[in-house]
Amino acid sequence: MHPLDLAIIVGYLVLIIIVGVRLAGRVKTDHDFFLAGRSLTFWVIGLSIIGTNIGASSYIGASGNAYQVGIAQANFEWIGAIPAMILAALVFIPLYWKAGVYSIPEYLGLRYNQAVRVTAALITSVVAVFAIAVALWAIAITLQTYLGWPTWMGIVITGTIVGAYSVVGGLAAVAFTDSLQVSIMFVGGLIIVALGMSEMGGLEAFTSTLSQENPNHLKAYLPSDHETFPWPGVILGLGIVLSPAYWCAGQAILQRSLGARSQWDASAGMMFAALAKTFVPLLVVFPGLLALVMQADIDFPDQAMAWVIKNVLPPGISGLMFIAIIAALQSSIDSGINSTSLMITRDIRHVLFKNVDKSRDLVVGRYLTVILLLAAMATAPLIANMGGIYQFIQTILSLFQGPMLALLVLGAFTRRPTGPAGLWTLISGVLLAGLILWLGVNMLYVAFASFVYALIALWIISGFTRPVEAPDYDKLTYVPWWRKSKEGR
Amino acid sequence: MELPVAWANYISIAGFLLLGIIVWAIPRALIFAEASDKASWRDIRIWATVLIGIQLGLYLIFT
Repeated sequence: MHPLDLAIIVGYLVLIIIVGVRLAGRVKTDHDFFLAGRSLTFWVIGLSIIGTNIGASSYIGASGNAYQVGIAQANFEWIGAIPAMILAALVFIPLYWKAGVYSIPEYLGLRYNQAVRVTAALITSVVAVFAIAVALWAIAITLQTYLGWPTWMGIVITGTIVGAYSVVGGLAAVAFTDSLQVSIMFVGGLIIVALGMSEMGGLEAFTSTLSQENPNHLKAYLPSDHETFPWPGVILGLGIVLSPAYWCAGQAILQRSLGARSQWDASAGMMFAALAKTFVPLLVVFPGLLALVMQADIDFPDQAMAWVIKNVLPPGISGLMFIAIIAALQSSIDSGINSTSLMITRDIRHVLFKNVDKSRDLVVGRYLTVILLLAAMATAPLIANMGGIYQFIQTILSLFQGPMLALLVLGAFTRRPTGPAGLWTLISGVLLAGLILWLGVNMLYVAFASFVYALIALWIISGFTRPVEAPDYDKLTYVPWWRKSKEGR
Repeated sequence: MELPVAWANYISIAGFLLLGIIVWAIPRALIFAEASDKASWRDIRIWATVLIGIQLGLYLIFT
């Protein structure tokens, strides 16, 4: 490794720790730890949301997919994100803000019942631990490739650095370091675009070479019978179900919005993130296309990004790009442990242990952050031998998202759904999704089918059940302008 | 039965236009809730409109 690259890497790590630890003095209560004392401004929230969103799969997997399928991969950043982010900013965030909740399971608990709250928190937490372990493993592999470190050393050092600022600084430290990390990612990504374009002789030459040899690589959608990304599946499964479930109900994403200093900052933060998200394909899709056009000598598509870093970037800049990948992974890990710690502390512990001492939430949250990180560090080396398990966990999460979104949408917009109906729909919806998946149906269609089933089931079962305790509908349901005007008459 | 790929672009464009209508149906008072002032740049409906415009452009270009 070039000394300039090494200097940049060391400088980055020192800066991250300084920023994180400096924010530690602000944490006095659990409110400060989990919601940054409701002090975050819109631009910090926006950058932190993008940092949480871009992870191992984005940098390595997305560029590999782009190498194979082309610009269609960008649908995960466009139709598969932007509409849901706009709705989250304008509809769901104001609703959560009005409800005054710390988490999305807490909102579901108030709207339905505590069993729904615990179920949602439990599934999300288990999946999160595995996701953190995968990110740690990805960092360890990256450090091994570039610096020659043994994987255990990469896991321990990364875990210690992320733990240092996450445990002492809470959400504020996580959000500020995320913002710094995203800025680095964009700088690195834009440099790749500029150098890549220059290497290929400009945009026109790049697109003409790409479209001559791969005519479908500049089309936003793939044929309806495509094995992985059929366009009806992308629109119905990704655009209508998976994306809104992720952006409107994802705890790791929305926690920084709930830590905003005002409702406007919370909504504007998500909208700002959507503006940045529009340009994320430059960071994660373009390198894959560049590797293809430059006829990269690689064995697997997932090697596209590494090939570009090694062959396109000069010393110093390749160190910056290496940091961008590490930063992407770190920001996903810190957000994951903070949000999971919150859900276990409040959504599971407060409900299952009735006489719990709530004044100890800050201490418990910090201990849980350490425990979660240690659990993920212990699991990380096993990931190499059980890649299928991570895929299984991701599938479980996808099975859960259709029914969960149905609960959120009907619960937020109508007063009909009841608590018992919510729990039965959640359980039966996940089982039905599992059954359809077992029949070999594409995951995108499974998500859409389970969502539609859950909407219908929730509506019908609610007609036969009653809430044990009537929720505060005025606070928990969205009243659109047309109903407001009727009520005002 | 294979469905034409161009339909996907048309559906996306129609969806974004519908979203634009929904955005502007949201009352101004809700947009400026707890905002420190009511400057026009704080109207996030305008931000959303810019975003929708960019998306329309992208799905028109990559057809």
